[in-house]
Amino acid sequence: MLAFLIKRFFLLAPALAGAVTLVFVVIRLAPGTPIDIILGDFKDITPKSTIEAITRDYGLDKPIAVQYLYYLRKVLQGDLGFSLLNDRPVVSVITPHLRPTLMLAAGGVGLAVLIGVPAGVAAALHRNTSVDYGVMTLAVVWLSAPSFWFSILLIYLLAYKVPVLPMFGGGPPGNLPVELYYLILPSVAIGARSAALLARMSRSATLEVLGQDYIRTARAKGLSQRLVVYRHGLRNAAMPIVTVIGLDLAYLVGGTVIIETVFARPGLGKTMIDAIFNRDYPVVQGCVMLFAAGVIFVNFLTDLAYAAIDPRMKFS
Amino acid sequence: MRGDWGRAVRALLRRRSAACGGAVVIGVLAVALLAPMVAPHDPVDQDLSRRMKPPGRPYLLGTDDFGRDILSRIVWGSRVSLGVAAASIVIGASIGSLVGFAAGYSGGAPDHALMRAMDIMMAFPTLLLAITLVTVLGRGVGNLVVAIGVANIPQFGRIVRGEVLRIKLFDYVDAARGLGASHLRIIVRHLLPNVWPTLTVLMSLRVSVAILSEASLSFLGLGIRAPAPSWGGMVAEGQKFLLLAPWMSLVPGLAIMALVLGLNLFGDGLRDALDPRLRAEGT
Repeated sequence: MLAFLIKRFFLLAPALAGAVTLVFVVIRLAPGTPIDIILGDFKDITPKSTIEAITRDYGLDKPIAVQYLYYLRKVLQGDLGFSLLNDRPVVSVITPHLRPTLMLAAGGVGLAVLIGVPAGVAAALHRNTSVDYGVMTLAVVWLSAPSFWFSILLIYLLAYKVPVLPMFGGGPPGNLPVELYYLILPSVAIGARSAALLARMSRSATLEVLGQDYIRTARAKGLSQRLVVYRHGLRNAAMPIVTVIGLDLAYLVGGTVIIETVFARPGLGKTMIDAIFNRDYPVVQGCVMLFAAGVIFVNFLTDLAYAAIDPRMKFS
Repeated sequence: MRGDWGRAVRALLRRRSAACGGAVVIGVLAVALLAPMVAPHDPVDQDLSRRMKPPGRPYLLGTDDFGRDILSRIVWGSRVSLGVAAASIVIGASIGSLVGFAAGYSGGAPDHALMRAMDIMMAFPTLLLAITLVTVLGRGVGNLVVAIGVANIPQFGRIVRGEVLRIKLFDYVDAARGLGASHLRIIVRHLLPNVWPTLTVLMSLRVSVAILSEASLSFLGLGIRAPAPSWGGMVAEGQKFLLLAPWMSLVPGLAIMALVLGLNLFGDGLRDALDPRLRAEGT
């Protein structure tokens, strides 16, 4: 197990390096020089000496390969540059916004697992009944609803028509019960799609497992339906379900950008969108890298979950 | 191959949900093509004396904060939605297939390098990658299409590669090679027709993702610029007046949902009819 953990952990580094490289490439692909990107609309009012300083600082007067190494070194040192808006280091601008986003992602996934998996398993166990049709119809409808629209509908119904939940914001930072209260609507908004996806996947995974020979054997032994399903069925159906949770968490991380914008939650996604409109590109770049790092970390956790569920994975 | 497609179409029509989905998609397509004839009013004609009228006559779905007819804006907006999604999926599928064929057919080091590149792109959620690209490239319909298209490359690359790896081991490919067929001939005559069903299914499923991406980007203000109507932009504009005129954002959202639902039902049916294997990919 330890060897497996260490091996997977060392795969994180190349993945992170790849993501950081992609950001470097995308910025170099853009029309205009990196200085245009870094300074944006501020270029014309920036003194020549400052431009020269930035050019030197980023190594932009050097060949591209050297520039890349400069850039890598800076990122490794945790230096993501400075915000153009207030001259603060990007790292200190974005870190306070990490918590609301992590809470939102956790809330969304939590709701999705709590609702989606039981609903999908129930649909599989009651195949071709009204339960099955009901769950599957709801799932495909929910998969089709744009998250921003669903958020607005939730706000309209549950914060205005029946005003039981707060309309927007993240609540006072540090006051956990109130923050959780503010988290309910956004979590439902972001988790609904994942719940629908999980319900579909759980249903087909359960159906597949229930068709296996060992399930027939378990039934033939005279085990109760409950024991068959819980001991023999679900554990084996868990692999594809965990895969989907892992894949979907990555999608969900991207979705926080939308949900935080709709609900005006002070998270990483909203910070990124605000930075885009402020043309504060160093902050945008920092957010993008942090998001990618989050996805890579989620993939790592998914691998660990595989190993925990299926001991065979450790040796493959 | 022709017989396969005929069977697929019949299987598709037998599934009622897939047929309904197909009907919705064809309906939206017709509305988009015939927009000037279908739209009851001018989609950009402003008149503040009729601003925020609730749904009724003569403005069936109400008017927005500039007094523009929402139904007409939805009708014209369907062009943006379908056009951007279709064009971006063509880009994503073409480049993705090239990558998939190159990697799967050559194997070895090129395969390894291309797939690592796809993995790196996959570390960025599709929407986030599209947002980043639009930010760097600048706004505009063309850049929007490129951004959503490029963000879709890895999904196509990986699945096409998987198919090519599977199919190139078949005996008839060996036989063709034994008869002296060139690489190009093997790819075009023997591999492509067999990858095509999977590619079609994947395209139909990814179009709905592309529609949601375009709507999301427009919602965030990174897509089509006002006053041109786009569904996502209309929802965003309406959110400001949610308490006064809820139809402004809720109605265009329903249009997005109906189109995506139609595409999903159709795509699910197509997948079951043409390529049940894709079910396991979680697409």
